[in-house]
Order: sequence, then structure tokens, then C-alpha cells
Amino acid sequence: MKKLSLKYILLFRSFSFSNWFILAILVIGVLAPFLANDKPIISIQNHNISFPFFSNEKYLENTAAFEVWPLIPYHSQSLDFKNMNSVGPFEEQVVPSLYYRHWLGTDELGRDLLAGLIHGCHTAIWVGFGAMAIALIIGVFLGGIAGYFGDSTYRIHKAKWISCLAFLLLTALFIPNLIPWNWAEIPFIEKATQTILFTMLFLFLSAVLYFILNRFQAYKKSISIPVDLIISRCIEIMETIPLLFLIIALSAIFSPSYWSLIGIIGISSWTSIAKFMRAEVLKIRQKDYVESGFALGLSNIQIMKNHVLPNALNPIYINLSFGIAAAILIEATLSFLGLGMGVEQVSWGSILASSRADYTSWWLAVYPGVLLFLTLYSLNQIGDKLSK
Amino acid sequence: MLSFIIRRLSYGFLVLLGVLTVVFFIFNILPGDPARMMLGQRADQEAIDEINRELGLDKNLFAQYMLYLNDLSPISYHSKNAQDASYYSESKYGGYLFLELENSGIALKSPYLRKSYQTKKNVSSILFESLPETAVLAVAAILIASFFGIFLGLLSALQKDTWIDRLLLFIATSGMALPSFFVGIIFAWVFGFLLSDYTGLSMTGSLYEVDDLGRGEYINWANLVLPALTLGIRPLAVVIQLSRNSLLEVLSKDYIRTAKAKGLSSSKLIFKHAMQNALNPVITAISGMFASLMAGAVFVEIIFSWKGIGWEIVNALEKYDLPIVMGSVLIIAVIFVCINIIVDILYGVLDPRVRI
Repeated sequence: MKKLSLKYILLFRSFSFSNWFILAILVIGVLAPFLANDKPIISIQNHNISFPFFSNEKYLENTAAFEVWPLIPYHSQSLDFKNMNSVGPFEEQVVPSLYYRHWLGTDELGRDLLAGLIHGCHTAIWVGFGAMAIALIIGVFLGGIAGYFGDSTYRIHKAKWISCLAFLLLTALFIPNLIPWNWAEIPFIEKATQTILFTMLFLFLSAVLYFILNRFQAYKKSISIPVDLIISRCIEIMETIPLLFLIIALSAIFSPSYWSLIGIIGISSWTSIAKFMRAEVLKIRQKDYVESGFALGLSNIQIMKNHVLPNALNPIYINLSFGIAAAILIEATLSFLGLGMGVEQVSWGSILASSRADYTSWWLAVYPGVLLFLTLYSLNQIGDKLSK
Repeated sequence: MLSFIIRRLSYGFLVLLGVLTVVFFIFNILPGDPARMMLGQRADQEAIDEINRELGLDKNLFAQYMLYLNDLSPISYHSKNAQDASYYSESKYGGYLFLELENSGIALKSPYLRKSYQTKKNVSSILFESLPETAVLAVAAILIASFFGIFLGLLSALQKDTWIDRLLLFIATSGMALPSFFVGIIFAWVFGFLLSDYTGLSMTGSLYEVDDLGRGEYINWANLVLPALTLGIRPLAVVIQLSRNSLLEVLSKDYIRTAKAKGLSSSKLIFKHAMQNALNPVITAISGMFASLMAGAVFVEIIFSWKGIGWEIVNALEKYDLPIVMGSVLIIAVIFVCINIIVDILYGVLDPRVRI
């Protein structure tokens, strides 16, 4: 397994096609609004410099001005009424000059395909990296705790354990009980106050329970909590629900937007990271340096933070590459089903879905499909190479 | 052994309970009004209240959850008051009351997955129609993947480091990266549209088709080809890589060298000694893949209009038909858990080294 260092990334050492391809996708994705837009970046007229690109106002065509236009003069959402109904890349197009040509054709509404693909890169890398960041945080945290504490190391007083359990049970039983059937009609403030007040009440009740139980000698004994067992069962439950159905259901609940999609994919795909992390931490915990850390009297948090975490993360980073590929694929599939981010945001999946309406416009299926395939292939290749 | 099976079964049961809980709460937090969906926008309040009462939707979330658990449990509690949501009627639940109390009873029944909001059909009967279609598709895909995958993996391992090996590995790695909906569109377009005169295949179609002449439903096996190929690509790639690596590992073992030194013919060496040991992990992986294929067939089913469980789910989500969605997710989870348990137990039986 290669040590994944910054030097390795920055020096482009042993860069192959897949690395360059992903780098290109990243650059295009970050610079997408500058590469394809229907407003000029800089416009100079009568010694007035303006940046229509950064303003939200509609840009009025002005032939007298000196302008710097982006590489492609179309936004992914700009409609070209002269080239509607899917004009192919090699067909005759009604354009004023070669600069305005739709190099990869247009779709049914006259939107430029190349601009769509460039803005799709933006979507793909944001969703891929954002979702994996969320999954990484949840997975590393839960997997690390499960592997570190195991089934018998985490010991707390019986009184504390019982009162915690009582609090959880009370909340789990009564918060749904509070939710009446016309929940959607109640104003948000009322819902929030109700929930918070009752949670506080339960917290208070369980604290009272703790102080009462603590007076008895029998409840001062410490017992071990099977942290590993609980988290492993949670992982198993998450894995048993088909990931795709879970995500489809969640995206039907939340209104389709950029951030909700990232959150949904993130909170549904942490299980594999958690499993890797758990296995890795289990291995590291047997090592001598952790043992000597205990002998030196370091606290659990110190050992976890300074000794276990840095050593456990390397294989996780390598698996991130596969994870990002999976997240990009999920985003594309959701957009393909029309459950993605709505019509405002273009995605490779939504372009592919538009090709299903009209089979004669092959360019709407082939270009985004090949781009998606090459991205996933390159990410998988990078992952393979790093794990060797 | 028996204690292992019991422990594994109880774990499986707990996981299913967890899945049930998660699924129930996810779908019941969804905003929406099933009664209005059933009756239309112009229904009067009384009729809506009636439907809400019948479905138990006028109760709080926790009571609804309990009602749902009661409906799913084979042994269930029912009230004898016709106004209650848990009122027992033969036509609704099936089964029979085996213990009758004064104003309640305990019934023995098959799990009741409720009725579709839209068509009023029992969800279990809808699933009973769509599940076999998905199963046929998944089985066909698995057969294609395992047959060609093991053969190509063997070829690749025997021709290690030649151009055949590299080509096959390239095919396998690209197969892993091909999104199934893209492949589906391309296959449907090329084989079902451009070349349909030669292949005789159509772009869309289900296993059961209604005859144009009115002779009822018939099975159209030709429609299976394209969806099964599309669905089989990813498992094929996995099986090629897995069987190649596993075979290469076995071929480097000592007993193979001994057999070679003994002067065994290469065909006997490979098929009798190497293959039998190399195929173990492959078969485990294939059986594990089956359940995920049943869930993963959604896109293939949508692209080819294959009326299986994924098609049913996406259609139901569009119409907000929650009982169908919940029922399908639960069924797939049950299949997943069952296959996992069977594989674990079989693994324990077949391989004595596995600690159980």
C-alpha cells in the first residue's frame, strides 16, 4: 500500500491517463462558470469597466463595447431558439459565426450540450467530494469508536448507563407520540418548542433517576457497554435497506436542492468507510505503541487522536477514491430518475435522461455517458493503483 | 451448530426490525395526504375522516407504528370494534382468529402489507406479480455473469501477462465503471432500434406480454435478452477479476506443483485440482450479489419497461403510493437478510475452518 503523501500528488509522479483525466475534470468543474457562460467576463464601454459575469442582472447585447467572453458563449440553461429540437453536432446550425457553434449539438430546448457537460462536471465533483466528506466524518467517527472500544472496554457506572438508557427510551417513545397526525399543519415554532421542552423534561427526569440510583451501592458497579455490537448492528441495518431505495425515498422527502442531495448521499453511504475504519482500528489497537500509551497513562482521547487516527486514515483515503466514484454514480442515477437537483442544475444524469425521449439524438446519450464512464473508470483506476 | 443458527436467525430478525422501523419513520414523515390522494381534490371532509380512521392515520405517529407492526406480525392483536383501525375482518387480513376475548381477539395470519392507495389492490398481490419478474431478470443476469465470468477468468489466468489477459482485465475494469443506465440506453438503441431488423428484439418489453389477438398473456423470452445483458455487465466484471485472482492464487500453491511434477495432464490439473478450490470465493460472491441485483435492477427495469419491483417502486413514488414502496423495500430487505443467513450457514457447513 502506497503512502499517500502530498508530495506524491503535487509532483505528479507516475501520472497516467486516469490521473490527468481526473485533474482535468476537477479544473473544468471548478472553472465551469468561467468556461461556459452566456455573459462576458469583462465588458468595457466608454471607459467604464463592468463585470456582467458577476452580476445577476440580465446582460444586454452591446456591440459597441469591448468584451471578453468565456470559451463557450452559452450557459447550461440558456436556450437557443434558433437551434431547438435537438440539432446534432455535425448537422447544419443557424449560428452567426463559428464561435457560436454548438460543437456537441443541442437538446430539445436548444440548450448547448457542451455547456451542459461542463456545468455537469461542476455538479459531479461537488456532489462527489461533498458527499464523501460527510460520509468520511460519520464513518471515521463511528467505525473508529466501534473498533477502539470493542465490546468490553468501555465501562461506565450502572446508574449512569440505566439513566442514559431511560432518557433514550423516553425520547424514542414520546417524541413520536407527540407528533399528531396533522403534524404538517402545526407551525414550526410550536413543533420546535414542544420537542425541546419535552427533551429537557426527560433529561431532567433521567438526571433525577441517576442521583437516586447513585445512592445504592449495587448501582455503583461499572458495566461494559457493547459499543462494537451496537454500531455493527446499525451498519448491518443500513446495509440491508437497499441504498438506492433509501436515497430515492429521502430525496422524495427533502425538496430537491444541491445541499440536500450532498447530505442525503453522505448520510446513506458511510457504512463502507465505517467498516474499513473499524477493521483498521481493531488491528492498530493490538499494536505495542497503543499498549505503551496506556502504560504511560494517556487518556483514551489522547491515544485516539494522536496515535490511532493518523495510522488508521491512510487506507481510508485510498478507499475515498472508490467512494467518490460511487457518489458521482448515485448523483447521476438520481438525476436520471428525475429525483436529483431539479431543473435548475444540470447533471450528466439529467442529460442522459433527456436522451430517452428521442432516440435519434444519439449525442445526448453518448457524450455524457462516455464522460461519466471515463470519470468512474479513472477514479477506480486511481483507487486500484493506490491500494497496490 | 444449532446455537449458531439460532443466534444468526435472531440477529437477522433484529436487523429486520430495525429496517422496518427506519423504513416506517422515513416514509411517515413525508408530507402528504393519502386520503386526499385516494378520493381526489373534491372529496368532502367526512369521507376523508372516514379513510383516515380506517387507515389509522388520525392517530399519532407512535400508535401508527404499533398498528403497522401489528399488521405485519403473523400473530396479531385485533379489536372487535368496527370503528377501530385494528378491527379484524376476514377479507382484509385473511387468516383466522384463534383466541377470542370479550372485545378483542388474537389472530394468526400472513403478514398484511396493506393496500395500495391508488388501485386498492393488496400490496402483497402486487409484489407477488412483480417479484418473479425481477427474480427472473436477476437470475438470468447472474447466470450470464457466472458462466462467462468464470470462463473468461480462467482464460485470463491461464494466459497471464499476454495480450488476452490485458484485454480481459481492461474489459473487467471498464465493466465496473459502466453505469447500468448508460449501457441500457446504448443497448436498447443499438440492438433494439438500429439493428432490430436483424436481432428481432424490441427496445422495451416485459416478460409477460398481452397478446394483440386477445389470447391473454404469454411469456416473451426474447424481451429478457437485453435487460439481462445490461444487468449482467457489472457482476460479469466482478466475476472475471475474482476468478482470475483466485485461480492465480491457487495455481501458485504447493500441491499444484506436486501434481504437475507427478505428470498430471494440464486439463485434469486445472479442472480437478485448481478450479474446485478456486471457485469457492467466486460462488460466495455470486450468491451475495444476487440480493443486491434484485435491488439494483431499478434502472434496467425503467429503461426497458420491465414490470418488476423497481419499476413498481419508482411508479409508486411518483404517485405517492406509500404502502407499495414500503412493502417492496421490506421484501427486498427480507430477501437480503435471508440470503445472508443462508450463505453464512452454508459457509459454516462447507468450510470446517470457519469458526462458528
